Amino acid sequence: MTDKGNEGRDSLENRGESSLQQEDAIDEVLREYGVIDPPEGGFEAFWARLRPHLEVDRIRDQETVQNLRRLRLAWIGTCVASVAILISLGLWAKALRKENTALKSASSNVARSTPGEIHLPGDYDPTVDLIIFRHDKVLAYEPAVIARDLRIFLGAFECFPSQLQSMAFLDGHVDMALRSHELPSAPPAGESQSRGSQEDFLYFQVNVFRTRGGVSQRTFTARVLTVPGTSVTLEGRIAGKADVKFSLSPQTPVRAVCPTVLDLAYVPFPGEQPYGVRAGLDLRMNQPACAGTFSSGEEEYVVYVSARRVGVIAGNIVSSAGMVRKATASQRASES
Amino acid sequence: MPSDEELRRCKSGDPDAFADLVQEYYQSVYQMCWYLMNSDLNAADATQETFLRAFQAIRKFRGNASIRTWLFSICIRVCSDIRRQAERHQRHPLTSTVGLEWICGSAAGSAQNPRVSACREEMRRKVREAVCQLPESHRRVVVLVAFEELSHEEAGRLLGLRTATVTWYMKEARKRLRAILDRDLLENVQSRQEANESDGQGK
Repeated sequence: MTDKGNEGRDSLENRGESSLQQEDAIDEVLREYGVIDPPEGGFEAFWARLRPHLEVDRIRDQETVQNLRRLRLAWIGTCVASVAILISLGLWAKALRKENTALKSASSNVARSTPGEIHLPGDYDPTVDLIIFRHDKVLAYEPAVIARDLRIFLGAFECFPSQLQSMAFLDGHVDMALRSHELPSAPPAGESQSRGSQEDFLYFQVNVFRTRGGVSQRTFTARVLTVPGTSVTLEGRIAGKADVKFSLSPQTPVRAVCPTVLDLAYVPFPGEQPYGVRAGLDLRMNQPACAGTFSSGEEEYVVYVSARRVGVIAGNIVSSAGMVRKATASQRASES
Repeated sequence: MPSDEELRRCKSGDPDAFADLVQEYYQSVYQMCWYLMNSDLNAADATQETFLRAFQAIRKFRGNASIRTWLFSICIRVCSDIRRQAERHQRHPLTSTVGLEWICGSAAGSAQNPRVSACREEMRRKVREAVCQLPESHRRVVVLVAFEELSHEEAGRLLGLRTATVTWYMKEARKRLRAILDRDLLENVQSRQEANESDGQGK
């Protein structure tokens, strides 16, 4: 290395040293003169000021911990309650499914069962279309599959509960068996059903229209199924200022013949002699026929009657609308 | 440095145990706050807030860093918050309000020669003003490295900076301080250093 080179290196080293020295000097100055002493009173004064804050903070912290614990407990309680609710809902849904399955199974059992096994109890509710009881236990409600006529038949059996022996629901049809001993004696062999028989039921529908007077234009409609020999009475009674309440009721059979006369009695006041109309019935009529009119003061009523004959053959129901129910095997056997 | 037992007591919320910790780091934290806030009043508030937050958060202190570094990190955050809050509300503008009264007061209490004492106070004032003139990023580095003698790596970790950046900030800060401070002051110190060195060699 040349002398110039040595000199250059020395100068660089010197400069570096002086730079380092300057850095040291700056740091030294900072440490010596830059130190900031705490304000008067020092630590004691500062601590006296800080301590109350720490105490407050500690108390707040404890409260926060307690609140958090309470919150956690509440959260756990909510979770447990939710789980319990979910479980109970699940169980309920499962039970419901099970019950549905049981009902379906029972329904199919009913369909397979013999008619004598199913009984309609005495406290049958006519507002429900059909309730199938078995051994005094409700098995099924079947409102959707019952035809209109059958519903009316069931309503009629409210009046004659003792005549229903059994009922079974088979392939969309209802087989009903009636007690034969409470019915009038069987018709003679060869008698035509169209002429009416002692086994016939008569189904009346009575519509009463107010054509004049009154507050409202309500129409009274009543249906009744009677056994032969029953007289049907339509009663109208004053109920309020200008309203008449009607009722249609079958009476106890007095004659062992099929009635051809519908007595429509109108009783305006209790104790007064009823007056009304007598309508001749044509059992072949399908459309409502005007049976007569009567009036009470300013009010005038028109009574329309339609009738339908329903035959019972060996415990099976046959309506004039052509609804022929299948006879059960045992009944067919007895017929043969 | 607090022992594990002291730290455990601090974590359990014992204010007396925390008092030892406060006493140990009070001066460092106050100094840092003072340089970052540039005001006696705000520095006192920031110091108090720093220790209050430390007391609230010490339960979460995991010991990954030293307690001193942890306190400094809280301190820096507190100073930034106070600054931001003050700027938002404009109620206590943080201007350079070096506590002259306090300096004078401490100088008056000094038992030294009045002339030496006055000279010394003058130098302290100049140094503080010089540091306060640095940008905040540089000031933080200077306080941590020059005053608290943290390594560049530690300061970088604390401030979220790379070591090279800290080194560069420090270099820049020294350059600016050198430019700001009186040449006389530096010469005075350098001559004193040389005198000390020659004394040491003579001995």
